Amino acid sequence: MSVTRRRPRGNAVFWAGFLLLAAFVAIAVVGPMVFSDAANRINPLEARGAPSSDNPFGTDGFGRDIFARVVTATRLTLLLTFGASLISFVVGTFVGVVVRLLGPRLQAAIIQVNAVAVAFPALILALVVASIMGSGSVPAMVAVGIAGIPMYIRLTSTLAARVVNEDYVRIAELQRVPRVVVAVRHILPNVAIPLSVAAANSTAFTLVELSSLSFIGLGVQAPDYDYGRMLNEGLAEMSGQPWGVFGPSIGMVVLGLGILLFGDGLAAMVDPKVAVQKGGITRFVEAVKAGRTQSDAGAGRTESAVVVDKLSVGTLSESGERSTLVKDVSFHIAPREILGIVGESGSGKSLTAMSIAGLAPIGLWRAARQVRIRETDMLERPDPSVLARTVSLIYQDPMSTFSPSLRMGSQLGDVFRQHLGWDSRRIHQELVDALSALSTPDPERVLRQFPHQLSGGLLQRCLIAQALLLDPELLIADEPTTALDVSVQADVLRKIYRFRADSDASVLLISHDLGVVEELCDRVLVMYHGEFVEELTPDQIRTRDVQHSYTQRLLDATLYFEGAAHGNGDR
Amino acid sequence: MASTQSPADSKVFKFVPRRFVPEWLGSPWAWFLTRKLGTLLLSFAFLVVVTFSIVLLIPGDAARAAAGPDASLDVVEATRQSLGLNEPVWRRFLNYVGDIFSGTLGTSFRVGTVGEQIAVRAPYTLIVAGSAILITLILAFVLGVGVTVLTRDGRRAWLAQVFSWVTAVVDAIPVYVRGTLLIIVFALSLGMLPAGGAQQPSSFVLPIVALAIGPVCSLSRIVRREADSALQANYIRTTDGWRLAGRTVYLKYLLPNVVTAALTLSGLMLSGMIGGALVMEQVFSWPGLGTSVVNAIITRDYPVIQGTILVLGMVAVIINILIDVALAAVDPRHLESRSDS
Repeated sequence: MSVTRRRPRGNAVFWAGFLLLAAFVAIAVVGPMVFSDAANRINPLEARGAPSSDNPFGTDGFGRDIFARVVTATRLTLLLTFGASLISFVVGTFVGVVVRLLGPRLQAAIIQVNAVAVAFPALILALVVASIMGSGSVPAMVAVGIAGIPMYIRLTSTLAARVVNEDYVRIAELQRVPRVVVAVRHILPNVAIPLSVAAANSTAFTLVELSSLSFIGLGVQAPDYDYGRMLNEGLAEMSGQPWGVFGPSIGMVVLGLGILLFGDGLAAMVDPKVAVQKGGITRFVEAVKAGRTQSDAGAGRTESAVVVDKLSVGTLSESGERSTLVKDVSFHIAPREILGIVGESGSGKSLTAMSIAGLAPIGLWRAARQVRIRETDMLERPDPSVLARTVSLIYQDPMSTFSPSLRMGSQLGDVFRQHLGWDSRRIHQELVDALSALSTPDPERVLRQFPHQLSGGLLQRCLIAQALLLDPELLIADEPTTALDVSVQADVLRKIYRFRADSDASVLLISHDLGVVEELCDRVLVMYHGEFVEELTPDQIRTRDVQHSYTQRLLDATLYFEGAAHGNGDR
Repeated sequence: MASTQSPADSKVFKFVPRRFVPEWLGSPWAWFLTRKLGTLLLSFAFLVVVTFSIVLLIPGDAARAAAGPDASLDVVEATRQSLGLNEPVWRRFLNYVGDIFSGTLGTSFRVGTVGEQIAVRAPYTLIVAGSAILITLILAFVLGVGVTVLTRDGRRAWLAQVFSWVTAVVDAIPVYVRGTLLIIVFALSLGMLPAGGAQQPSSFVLPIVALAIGPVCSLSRIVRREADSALQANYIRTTDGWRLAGRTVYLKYLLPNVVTAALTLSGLMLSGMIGGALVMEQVFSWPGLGTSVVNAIITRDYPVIQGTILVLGMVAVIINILIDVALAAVDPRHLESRSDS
């Protein structure tokens, strides 16, 4: 939705850039015819004049009108910029495509050398060419053009490599279509769009580099002048005529901005994703504070550790419309009880769990009569330290649960450091002990390693060990085995079972897998479209003693596989 | 544990029995640094060949080009002698490499050896470029992450807008225009700082600012984009579950991951600041390598051109390698995976 909304913005940027560029091209074509007289008329009496109605940007050391000179300089500036860009583009894409058609050895060698060339600042490469060809307009254009070639070679060959591996190119090769035909028919059209976006952006750099060369005296030479040359001359006279540098500066910046906008807009039109990224801020509606629907204390059962009464969660659109994702769910969990919630994805199971933990995504509204975990009223705003010790969580995808740049011991320990006041030695010792208790081999090593060096099963085990130490009132396990290999799943479930045995906590297990739930849970709630439709015992699941048609369908799916697995054998 | 074995292990132990290899050689760092050394040597070779071929590729008679169109035949011949142009190419190349390794880098047509000239001027360029790069890194991350945190979840929408526009516009101004504007404001109008030269410590301020301000803007835009997407990552959700304080989340969990993402994207931009430094020197009449190489190109002092470009190129390569090392130190995944391209 946000994509379609942002799209016109990409277009607006594109047209703004396009109009600016068109204006500059028009100035470049017409400007010199109209203004070249004024630009070159020497008038010593009016030298170094301040801006006036006759001379909007003032006059230079020879009394020439700077405005007229800026207008006139546009033609040379644009010609050189487009010329240099054309050199980079044509030679770079040609070599880039040809490289892909060469044998693998030669191809690798060229790409390796090109990688070295790309790493050098373009200006330094331009200096090399300038020192060979000497200074002047054309040498500067060629120098900047050549300096831009390595970037295009790399871009084209990378893009072409992607296309070459596509099936249609392979088929063409199998049909013995000549390589040149493959290049023209298949490779070029498919790299054209990303290339033209890159070309627009790199033209902005070309402009800056070319005028830089003119500015340092190696580009355009007097009596010719482009923006860079004018700035160079303006700078030399700056103590006597500070206005001299403004005209060419403005021309330079506006032209550069035009090219950049054009490139950004082009990219946004071609790839709407970019527009959203660049658009940046996704607007979130301010989160509605958790509301208590009706104060009705004492409704929960006294023996329950977790009480949830009429919890509803939903989204709030920008215009203020409410939609409901979770509707009036109520349940309770006793100490040492494992409650399962099953349902298809999108049924609201995770949202229910996260809302209980006070971790629902921002931008949602939440209302309930009561959400209580032991003595903690989760509808108030409990102290973070209390929260950290009340609820522990295990997430679905262990590989992305931890920060990739921190060692396990460091990130597992932060919660103890901040909320339990433990020192580093104690944290380390306790984590080692907890991991050992879950029969982890070499726990010291696990704590020293980074997440990407550990298996998913071990990462889940780290969270369970941490939960053991935090000794929470409620452990929420949100699809803890979904992302794991089948061989590891049973082990993680066993560790959760073990956790329950060792602590006094309640466990809320979310899953879409009835088999898992049946094995582990004391009671099971079936969730469908944001509501609980049925409460079951594991025995009821085993004997298929269910009422609701959705549960029936869920069971059918599982039993089909079990039937297939145990088809002609008895357990 | 088999899954934790780094690629370094297998490569080293393929050739040498395990017990002959000291412990540290098995570490991923040893293999990583070896590859970086390879990159360094390859780039050096590339630069030596490129700078050597400058004189080779001059159209027409190189000695005539070097001596200038008005020079007498005697002078042209003398120039030919001193450039060694009458020797075969392979011997000239050997002499060139020999000069590089002796540190003289050849003899300037004007004063002394190229090595001496560079030794005098390089510090000015390196101090300005180095400080500008440091300032860029620090400011860009502070600004980028700061703005992201302040505008998180759609708060302070105005700040996000201001940030986007200001950084885009400043970034669109080329370095020499920025330098010129800084001179007008701070040197000519306010008289606070010197307009050029490097006579006193305060002379360093404007060149460094002029050089850094553009990259600060473009890098902080990248940082902001990366920080925005990092905030959506699962590991940030995990820290919410741990109820960690905002300070810890942003500094310990968000920042390192943003640093690696942003540096990976901006390595070439940072080494490109060396190019910006050359232009900046012209604005501030800075006595560094930029002004000397430009003068050398205008006066066709080829040994100085060759030596200076060689040194500047190596500085750019070293900056790139330092960034890679920093990346690997922050995020060990870079030890294994990142290719050099």
